[in-house]
Amino acid sequence: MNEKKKSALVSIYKIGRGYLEDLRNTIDPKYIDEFITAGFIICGFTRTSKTWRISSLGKGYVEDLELA
Amino acid sequence: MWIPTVNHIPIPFEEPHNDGVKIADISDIIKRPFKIKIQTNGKNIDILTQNEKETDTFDSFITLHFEKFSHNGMIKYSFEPKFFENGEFGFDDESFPGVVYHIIKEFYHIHEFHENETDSSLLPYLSKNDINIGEPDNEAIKHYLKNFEKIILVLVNLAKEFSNIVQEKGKKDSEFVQKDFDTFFKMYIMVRGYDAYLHSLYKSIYNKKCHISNENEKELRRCAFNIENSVRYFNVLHTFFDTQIRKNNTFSILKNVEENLRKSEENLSRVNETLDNSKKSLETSEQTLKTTEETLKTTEETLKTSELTLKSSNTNIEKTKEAADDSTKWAIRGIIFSAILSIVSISYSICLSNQSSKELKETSTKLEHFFKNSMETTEQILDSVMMQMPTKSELLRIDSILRNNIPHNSGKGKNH
Repeated sequence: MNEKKKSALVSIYKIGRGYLEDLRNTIDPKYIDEFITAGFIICGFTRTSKTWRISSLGKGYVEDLELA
Repeated sequence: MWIPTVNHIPIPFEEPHNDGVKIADISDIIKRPFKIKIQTNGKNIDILTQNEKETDTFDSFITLHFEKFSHNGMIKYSFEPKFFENGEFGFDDESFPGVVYHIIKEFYHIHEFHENETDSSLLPYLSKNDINIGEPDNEAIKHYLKNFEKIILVLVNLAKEFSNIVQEKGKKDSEFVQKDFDTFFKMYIMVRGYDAYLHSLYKSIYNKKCHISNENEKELRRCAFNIENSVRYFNVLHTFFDTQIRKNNTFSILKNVEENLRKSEENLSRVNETLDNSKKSLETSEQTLKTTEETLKTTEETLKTSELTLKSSNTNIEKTKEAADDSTKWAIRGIIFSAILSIVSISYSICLSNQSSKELKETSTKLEHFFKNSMETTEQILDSVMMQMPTKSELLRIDSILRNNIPHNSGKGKNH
């Protein structure tokens, strides 16, 4: 895993949840899409915006590898 | 919309899970919850959203109208596009919230081999144009096969990276590889689960083109190859990972076994010491028991003696009681006698006093008479004196008369 991807995963782990638009401004969108596809990120909605949170699978991935 | 199914069985429209109703907060922003309510309405699906002001009520948002279903789990719905104003939540030919699809699946499918939320990345097939889901190689089937290909490839990649990182870290820190890598095995189970469900589409009669042997359509051939080989690759990865971990763990397990054996030996020697101590304690206890028996015998004898003493004490107590009763009686008699004596003496005193007072009265009466007489005599004398001057002898005679009239017991009274 390259360092950028590792760093992206750690950021997601530390932030935990928020608005998807803000996340796309912070992290490379291709990694976000990959993590959503794998089920590491779960997407939701408020009335007006798309939201996200890290899943237990995503947390476990970071914790098992002691990346954070 | 595909409802994952392992077997070609009818979709349970008549008996949906959760009684065909689910309310969920689909927001990940804690301060801004957003609840939706999804419920079956026969074979249709009603989607309601939380009222902005009255948060306990739900307003109808959209209805998915049932059109058709196929035996490999495909259901076709139609709906009118709708979005919230200035919002991203909505439905049209390009948008369908994955979380809503995920909830609808739950009415007819049980999430297995993965945590409830982690397959919500799979999105339904959307199209402005009508499609025939009963037709082979329809667009919906291709959509799902391609999505599965994408998911499995991503999971394989992440699993490979996971394995590499574990091995790299393991070289630097041998204890690192002794952890329970739950996540890897969860991912492996997820992939095997996807593979099982995918077969109902991949191996169905509706899929004729997405095969490794399709020479004409490169994209579908590649998709088939990736689906089949990725799952095989994941199996190999799992075996490799498992073996490597187990090898490292075996060595550490052997170390742990040696350590445990050493500790067991120490514990055994401690147990032997404790056993010896227990034997000694047992001997001491036996001696103590003998002593206790002897003491018990002595105590029994003492008890008997005490009983005799008690009896004699009781007898003495009774005698003392009787003596006390007698004393009390005599004391009472004495008191009564004393009282009687007192009464008698008091009465006698009273009598004496009465007598004295009588005598005093008589004396005073006598005195009164005397004084009366004296006064009369004095008057007479004065008269006679007035009449004539008494002679000395007459004075003497008067004086003797007066002296004779003075009672002997006049005491301290004045001489007239």
